[in-house]
Amino acid sequence: MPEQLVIDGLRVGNGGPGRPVLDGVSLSVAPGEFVALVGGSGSGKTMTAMSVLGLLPARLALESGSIRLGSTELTTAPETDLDKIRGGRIGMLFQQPKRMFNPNRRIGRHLLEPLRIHAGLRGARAREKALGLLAEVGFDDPRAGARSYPHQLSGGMAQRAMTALALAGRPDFLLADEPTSALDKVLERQILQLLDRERAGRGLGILYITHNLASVAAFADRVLVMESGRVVESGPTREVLGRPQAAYTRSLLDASNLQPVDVPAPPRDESDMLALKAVGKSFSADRRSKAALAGVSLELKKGEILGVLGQSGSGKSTLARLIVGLEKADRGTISLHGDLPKGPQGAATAVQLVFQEPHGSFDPRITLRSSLEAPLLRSGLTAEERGRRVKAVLAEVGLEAVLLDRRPAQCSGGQLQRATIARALLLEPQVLICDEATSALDALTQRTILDLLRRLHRDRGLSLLMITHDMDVVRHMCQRVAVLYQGALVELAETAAFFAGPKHEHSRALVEASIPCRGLHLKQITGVQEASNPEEPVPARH
Amino acid sequence: MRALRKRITIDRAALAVLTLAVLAVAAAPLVMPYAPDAQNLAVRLAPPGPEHWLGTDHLGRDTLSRVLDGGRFSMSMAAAATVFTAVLGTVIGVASARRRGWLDEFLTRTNDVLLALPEMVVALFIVAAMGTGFWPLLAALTVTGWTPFARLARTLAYDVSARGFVEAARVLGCPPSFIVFRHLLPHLAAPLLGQATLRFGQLLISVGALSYLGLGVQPPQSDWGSMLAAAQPYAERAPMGIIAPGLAIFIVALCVTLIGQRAAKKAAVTAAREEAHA
Amino acid sequence: MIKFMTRRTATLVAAVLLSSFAVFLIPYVTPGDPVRKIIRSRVAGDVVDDSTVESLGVSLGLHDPLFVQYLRWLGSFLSGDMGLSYVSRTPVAEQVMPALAVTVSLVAAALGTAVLVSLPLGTAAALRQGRRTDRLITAVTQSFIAMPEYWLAPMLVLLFALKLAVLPSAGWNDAASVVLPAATLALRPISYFTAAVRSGMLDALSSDHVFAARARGLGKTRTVLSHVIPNGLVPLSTLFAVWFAGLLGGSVIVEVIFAVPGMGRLLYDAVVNSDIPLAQGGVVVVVALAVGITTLADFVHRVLSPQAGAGLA
Repeated sequence: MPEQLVIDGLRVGNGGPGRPVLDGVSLSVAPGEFVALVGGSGSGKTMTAMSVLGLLPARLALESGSIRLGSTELTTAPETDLDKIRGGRIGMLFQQPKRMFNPNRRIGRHLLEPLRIHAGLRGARAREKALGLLAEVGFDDPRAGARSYPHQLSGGMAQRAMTALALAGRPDFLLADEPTSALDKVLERQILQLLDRERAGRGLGILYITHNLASVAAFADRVLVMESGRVVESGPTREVLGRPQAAYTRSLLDASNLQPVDVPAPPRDESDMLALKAVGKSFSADRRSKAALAGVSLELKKGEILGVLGQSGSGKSTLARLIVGLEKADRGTISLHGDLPKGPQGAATAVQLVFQEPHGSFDPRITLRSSLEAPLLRSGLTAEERGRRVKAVLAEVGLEAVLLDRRPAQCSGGQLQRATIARALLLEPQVLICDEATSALDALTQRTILDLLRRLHRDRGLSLLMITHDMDVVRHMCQRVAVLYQGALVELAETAAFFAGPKHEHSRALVEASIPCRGLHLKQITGVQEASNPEEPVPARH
Repeated sequence: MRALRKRITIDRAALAVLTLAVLAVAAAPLVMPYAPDAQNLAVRLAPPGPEHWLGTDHLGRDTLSRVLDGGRFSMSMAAAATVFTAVLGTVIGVASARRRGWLDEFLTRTNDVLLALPEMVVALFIVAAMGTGFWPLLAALTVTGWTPFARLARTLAYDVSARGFVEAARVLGCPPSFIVFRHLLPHLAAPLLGQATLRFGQLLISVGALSYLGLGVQPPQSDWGSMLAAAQPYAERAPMGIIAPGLAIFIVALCVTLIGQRAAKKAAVTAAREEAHA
Repeated sequence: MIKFMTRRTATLVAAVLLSSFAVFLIPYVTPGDPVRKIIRSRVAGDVVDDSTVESLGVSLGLHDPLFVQYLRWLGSFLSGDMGLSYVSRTPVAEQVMPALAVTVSLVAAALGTAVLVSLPLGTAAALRQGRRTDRLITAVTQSFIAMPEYWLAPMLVLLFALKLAVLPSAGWNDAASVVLPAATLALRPISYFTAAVRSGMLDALSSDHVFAARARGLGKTRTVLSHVIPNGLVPLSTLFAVWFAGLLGGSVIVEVIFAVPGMGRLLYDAVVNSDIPLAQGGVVVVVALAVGITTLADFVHRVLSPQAGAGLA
């Protein structure tokens, strides 16, 4: 009988009278099992993992319950024993891998630490083993990987390196705390596949902590749903997600489904609104955080909704910044056609941008009224006229005028994103660029903002450029889709044709990442119609 | 009693002491027991007593009166230099961050060189070239004094400029004056004010240092630094002559340092909270 | 990294050249005839009559374009010929170099003391953050910032030299004479260093990677020794260099008070006596060394903290 990790009736609180952070949590993970722990922020899922490692924050304490690894009771184990278990028997992955590395040390040197402590390896043998681990987690060039500093790695590679580090002590169990939340879909899938391979290969027991139900459906054997410190529902993945009992589980499921809607009909007018010809931009070494663009040519037609798909680092944000003039192109031309607004600002404001971060696009120190009136300051309008216009656009995006006297911190993300759109509309733009405009919002708000954009597109005849990494946004909003990969345009197609048969290798990876792999697709379980089928069969369970 | 003790925080105490010092120095002509330059050779180097609370100097002048009077020059000089360098540094720093390119590179490198130049040596040269007095002294303190403000203003302006709302304002075609006055300066004000408070303390010490070396205030006028220098030969017989003016500098500098450090910390916390919220 | 080093080195050279040019201009911008002033720094004997001044001016090339004169001046400067001091009538280089040696040892003693004092204080304050130890250490060291050297020095002299008579009050003869000037000079750096060590340690203690190291089974002690302390000390290295550079010419007050024959004293004397060649030599040497040290510190910082330069505009 292999040893299990068992948590039984765990209660964690701050020692005071208030509600405990964890209230009678029980769960178990067997070797070779992939267990998902699902819940919103503050539900206690991370604290569960911290309790297992005996690393609760100082303000919290374990009040009752037991945590057993095989026959060892962890809650009463001495610190020296726990240090052997941490990393040696139970490894851990984190949400922000880069911040979990010592920034002043190379990856290779990090790996030597657990190898020495838990495997007793030193010198050349340890170095050899470290390179082997890096190769195992998918570094094409392990030597280069070992030599690099954490900040030099991309988010995906950093999480791979963190996985190598967690596996270095040959643990039997892995606590993975939102390991893919900061990554895009393609990378998420690759990381989870990597973990799943370790599970199948050597019987690693995985406790996967997440709020992302789609990945749970695809990978987990069992799922536990947590809400305010309690497990409210648990069972095999198919049962829990297919026939949710708890109201909380149902609301989580609702929020993860974007209902399919009719893609707006393509415009009849085929003339170009915005044309990019061989636009290129590179950044000097000290601005490496921004992605370069190499010779992109693209037309946005009048009244069209064009999706621009790309992962982080593909150059899609650079594209948006070039079009609105926040950056200057090194090569190529960007030209604007159509009836441009007259006035002192002229064409410069005919293209407007909606940023990803609604809270960031408003100065926290000044009221929405000042922020919204600012673009009109040069227009020569009277204060009264400015106020009227602001109120008019506010009504158009569905916001009430009382918000005008609030500061950004007093508004929700959804309200602010509407206000951003209203502010852009003040300048009567022809083109609206949405740079991941809905990515920072929760699923329900996301849908209402997309609805608003569709309405503006219809009523005002706006041309929209939807820059996103979210396949669902493209699927449900856009008439055409352009795919950016490493700064180049690799595919441009009608949306339906794109999903039916992506041409470029990277496009295929993007489309594939939105459909299931080992397990099931969320939409299959929950009964939402979906064209694609699982490609890989569910492997036999032990 | 406990409630009272809780309300006396360090920065409140510092603020109270500082206010008292400023008031005493400002009202010196009214509160001085003797004229600061009234000599009385009969009571040379007298120890503290009922007649002369802090004793007298080698010419029999009342030390308390001279400390109160000397503070006028020390404090106003330091205050003028603080305001001057703060405004200059802020303008340079913001211009650097807004214009970027070669101007930024040039100003930043100038700043680097000036940082490596010892403040006191530069001041020595300027005073040697321009002579002594209020304006040369102000110039001497300004040449190197603007650099910390420029550094801070530049870094902050860069950070704020990279935030979404400034980029949004640019895309929306807001006038540059709006961006500078409504977005940048309000975000810069609190940290710069904290910095200015800290610098006032350091400049007060520098003013005293130049006067101590005989390059600052010139007789018959005196300030805390020149008093210290004059009293040094008699330190053994009348230690109060050096203790009193030095203590005055120390107390005022300490109070502004405490206030400035707390203000700077507060500004940093506010900024971090806003950043985290965004 | 190589690009960074080239750029910083180029800046260093430009900065030194620029400030040396400014220093070269001193005889031209100060009152009086520049030709006579320069001749005085080049010729040992007294030159009074106009015809000799004229012929010497020609032979020394003092009527050439300013830039040519500058290059010539720089050339002789680099070969160690810094001219003759007006006061001592001896070569400036012979005065500058010993003075530099004195100052470097004084500054090294002061900053060494400061590091030795602030390391334990800052670490203790960080490990007991918010408690009485921390508050006491922070309050006392903070108050050092407000301590004028020209006040502390006479008080130390009063106590240790005059009242207790255990240390010399001035001069630069033996190890004992280093104590008071070094102690005076160390006070303000102690204040800044302690704050830097404390906040560096606190940052390191609360950083995610330290937590992650604990989660990998690195014990408490080992984590502090191998992750917290090394990371916490990185800011101190830069601060140390900045202070070292700054004090090379910045110890004027202390050197004057304690009659230490160092750079500060030399520059002070040069200014007070309008000894132009001496001032020129002293300033160029101090600036070159100071800029060199800060540049070196930048390189060291890049090596210790490689992510520092990435992603910055």
